Amino acid sequence: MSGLALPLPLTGERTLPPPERSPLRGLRARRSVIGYRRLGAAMASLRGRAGLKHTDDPLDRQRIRADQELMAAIAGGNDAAFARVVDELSPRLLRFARGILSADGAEAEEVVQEALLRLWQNAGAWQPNGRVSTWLHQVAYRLCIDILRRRRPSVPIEDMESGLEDDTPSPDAGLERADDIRAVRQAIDRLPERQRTALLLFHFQDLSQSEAAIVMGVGESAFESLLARARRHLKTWLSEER
Amino acid sequence: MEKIEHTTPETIPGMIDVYGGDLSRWPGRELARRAAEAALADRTVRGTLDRARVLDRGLAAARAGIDAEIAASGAVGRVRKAVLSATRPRLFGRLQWAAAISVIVCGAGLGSWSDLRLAQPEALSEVAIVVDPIVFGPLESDLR
Repeated sequence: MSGLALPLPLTGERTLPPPERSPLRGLRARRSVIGYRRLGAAMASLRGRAGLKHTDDPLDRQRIRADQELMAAIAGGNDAAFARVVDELSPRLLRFARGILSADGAEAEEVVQEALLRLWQNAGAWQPNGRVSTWLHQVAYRLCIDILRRRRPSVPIEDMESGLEDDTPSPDAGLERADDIRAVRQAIDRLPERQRTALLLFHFQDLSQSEAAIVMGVGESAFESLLARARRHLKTWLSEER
Repeated sequence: MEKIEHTTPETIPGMIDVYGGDLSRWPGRELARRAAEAALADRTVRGTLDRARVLDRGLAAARAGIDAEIAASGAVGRVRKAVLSATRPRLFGRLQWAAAISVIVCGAGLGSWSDLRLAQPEALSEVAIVVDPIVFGPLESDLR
């Protein structure tokens, strides 16, 4: 992952065995039934890290280097550098948080503020192999999960998906309702949280599959499966007659 | 994730479900090229790709709608203000210390300067004290 050590797998969710190249390899998985631990930036920095260290893309490596310099500047007290990060990433993070929480307003703003503050607090501990945007998305995602858990604490996330598992081929009908923005947003809100997250990360946040998988703490295959299921559900719902 | 070795015309629709209709976002040019070829060769694949693109357009429009709401709500400004003010005390503390030290140094300097000025002999002058003879009586020199 990103330079700051990555959070533990979320408690209460299915913990996938990390695939061979998973950035989570080596971390100890922990389970508990219900309830998430608030991600503390200080604790995260003690855990080891996941990162984009396997990237062969020279553009990726260039961006990682640029982020490293940026974080060094922030750690050195360069407030202008931090302000640039805030200006550049807060609109994206707000979009993401609103999508995950299926709500607008104060909660999404709180999530984004907290994520940015944690970045500032831990600038000195930045590891030179990650992307700032990936790390911020990850922190924002965890904070959103905390909020979702507080809303419905007795329902484990995976149970919310089981009733919607659908491996049948997507319908052959036209997507009549795809032009209706409100219908599309309602369909997105209707998705189970993990499918919605996968869809938002890929289509709204423009993260690559590998980055999005890191944010969600899953392997790329699992991420692709979530994304495919999300798209199939959307096609089904948007093809239905009103 | 390279999936070239598993790519067949039959698997392309499933991949379209994953990666969507925008071939530029597919993981690898070769994979995207094969999808484009399959779409040209097979009407069913082309239909699947077209529907994926319709969905992609709907998602892009939904995204733009959210961005417009965020811009109109002023949320970005609020977040910026809250985050930058929370991180500002570090700098503000340094300025406060600098101001306090400056006041102390200036005050000490002014005090030292005024002391030095008062201590110079040229500043001293004789002061004659005249007592009232009615109250204190005549001087000895007057009695002689």
